Amino acid sequence: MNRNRPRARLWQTTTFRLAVLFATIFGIGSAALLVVLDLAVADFAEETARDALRDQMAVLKADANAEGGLALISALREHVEGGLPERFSYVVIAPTGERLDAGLPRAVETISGWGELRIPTREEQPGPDPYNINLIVLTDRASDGTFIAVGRDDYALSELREWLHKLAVWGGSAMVLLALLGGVAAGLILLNRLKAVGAAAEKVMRGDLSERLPSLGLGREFDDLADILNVMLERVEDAMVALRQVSSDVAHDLRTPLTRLRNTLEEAQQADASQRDGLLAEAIGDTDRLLEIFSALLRLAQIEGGAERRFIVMNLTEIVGDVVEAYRPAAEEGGGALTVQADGPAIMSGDPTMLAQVVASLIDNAITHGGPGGAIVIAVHALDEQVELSVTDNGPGAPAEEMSKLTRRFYRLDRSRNTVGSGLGLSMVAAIVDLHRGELILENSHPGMRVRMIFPGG
Amino acid sequence: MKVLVIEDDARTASFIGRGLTEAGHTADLAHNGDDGLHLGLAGGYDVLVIDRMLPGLSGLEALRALRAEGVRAPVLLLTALGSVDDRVAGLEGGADDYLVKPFAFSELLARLNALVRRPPLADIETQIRIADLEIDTRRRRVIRAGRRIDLTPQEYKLLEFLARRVGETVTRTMLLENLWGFHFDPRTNIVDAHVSRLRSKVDKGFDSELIRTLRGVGYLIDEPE
Repeated sequence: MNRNRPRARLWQTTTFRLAVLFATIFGIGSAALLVVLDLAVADFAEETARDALRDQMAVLKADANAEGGLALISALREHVEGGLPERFSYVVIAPTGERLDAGLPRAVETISGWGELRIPTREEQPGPDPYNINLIVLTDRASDGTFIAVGRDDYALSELREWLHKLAVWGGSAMVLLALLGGVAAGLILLNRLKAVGAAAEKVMRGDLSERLPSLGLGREFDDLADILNVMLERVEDAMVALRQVSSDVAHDLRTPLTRLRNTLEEAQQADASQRDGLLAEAIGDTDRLLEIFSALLRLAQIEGGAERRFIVMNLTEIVGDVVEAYRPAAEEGGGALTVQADGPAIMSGDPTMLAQVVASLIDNAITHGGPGGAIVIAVHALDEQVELSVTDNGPGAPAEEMSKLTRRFYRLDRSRNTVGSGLGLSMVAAIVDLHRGELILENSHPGMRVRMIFPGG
Repeated sequence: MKVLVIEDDARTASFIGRGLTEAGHTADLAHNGDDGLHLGLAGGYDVLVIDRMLPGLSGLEALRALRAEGVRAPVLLLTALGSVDDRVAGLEGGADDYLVKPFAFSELLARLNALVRRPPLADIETQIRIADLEIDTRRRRVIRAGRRIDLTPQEYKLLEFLARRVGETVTRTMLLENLWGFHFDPRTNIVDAHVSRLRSKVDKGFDSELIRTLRGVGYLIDEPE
């Protein structure tokens, strides 16, 4: 693991990426808003201008119809020359040839109805076409033939647009800036929380397995994640504690047989030829027992690791029958009795070899610890959705307070210290039962000991 | 018999080699998978002993390569791992037997003998005769000195297994694996109890003992000496 990886570059950090993401989204949003507004405003402004021109035309035409073109011209001239702020430009031509020109070029006379004109100018104008004044024009004729043209420039519209553009640019920039700040802030908050998690993880890595991750405080999903990781850490811690226990157990419990082996070998070294063979045979026996313990430990580790699982649907009653038949002569040799209680097949999913080993190991225990001439009862029952297996002996049993310790590796009752056995049998049984998702219950059967196992049926 | 031993641990290899030579066999040693494959392909071996974990070409790979090249000689795979998966993988890879380290040399020798002398399936005897003992394997009937002997299924199974290997050593582990499917060592000596029951019916009260115990190794059934 590379724990000294270089600090991430700016553009690689979540903070930066979040900020850029926010800014991009807001930038695109602002631009879209501007385009939509621009179109809507332009439409609205043009409609308003046309309405105004239509109204103005209606007024002028009504005047010309009532009092004639000449009267209209003089009234308008008075109005125009009065210097009042003017929104409209006019051309009026009476049938007599008398005319009024107020702000519109002569080209207007060729237009009939609605039209648009462009007047070049030297001064810069606001709007998209800075050296032209754009005009909307409406022409008509009064009842006496008077030509009336009313025009209006798009100055106001351009101004509005320009203002909108400014608003969009400044507003958009402000939004992008805020988005960047927001992104940085969100990123920093997130990073800070993650840093706390990282620090906790670092502690765990350094060996402090009791450390737990802090709550992220960023919402349910994140907290759920932290919870799950904490449960994982708990499991890891349990496993490590168990492992430490096992290592020290192994170291401790192998010392005795190894010391014995060493003593035997030393004795053989000094013994005369006649005794040597016996001592060497004893040493080989001791070595074999040690090797047996090692392979039992190895196998136990494999089973507990769940590494080998070849489950098939099988009949536990059949397996029990086979194992019992294998053991029967040996059990009966010492005056004991093996009885099977089964009421038909007990179907479950499991590993036949492992379950045979469980039955064998429990019968081994019952024979070894149940005392001579013991009666051993092996019962298999198929319950609703469950299969129950039990092995009961009528030996001395075990003190109630030691029951729970019996499945520990190398754990042996004081009175069993001198019997053959590695102290791993019940640990193996427990591991195999666990692998089969079963429940293991050790209890006194008054007298004797009963080992009950309840497996999920299949 | 001529045995090829492919084993990387020099001490284990020479232990096996010396043992085989002392027992009157010929042993060639190879210390890695590639050399082993080379020797194995050259042929002429009655049986091969291959360690599963070898440097370079692994034991299982060497075995597969040998089988792919048509080498038919029986193979005994040695392994330090004794898990079920492992055994199955070995047997699927073309091994004929499987022995977990550590092992007693006598166990290895007994298994090699069994592999080399394994009767071909085609001429399985249905009538086995050892001295005055007659076994009719079709009817599962046992007669000794003209007298019918009633055996339990377990006892019959054991007798037939021994009788089919007349004159050969059968180890306790071989019996546990083949007759009861136990791939673990039970603490109770169940094999001896079965054998002593069988003896009480087959040998007791007759002129000679056919079933012999080889101390610390196993049993064999044979004509009386």
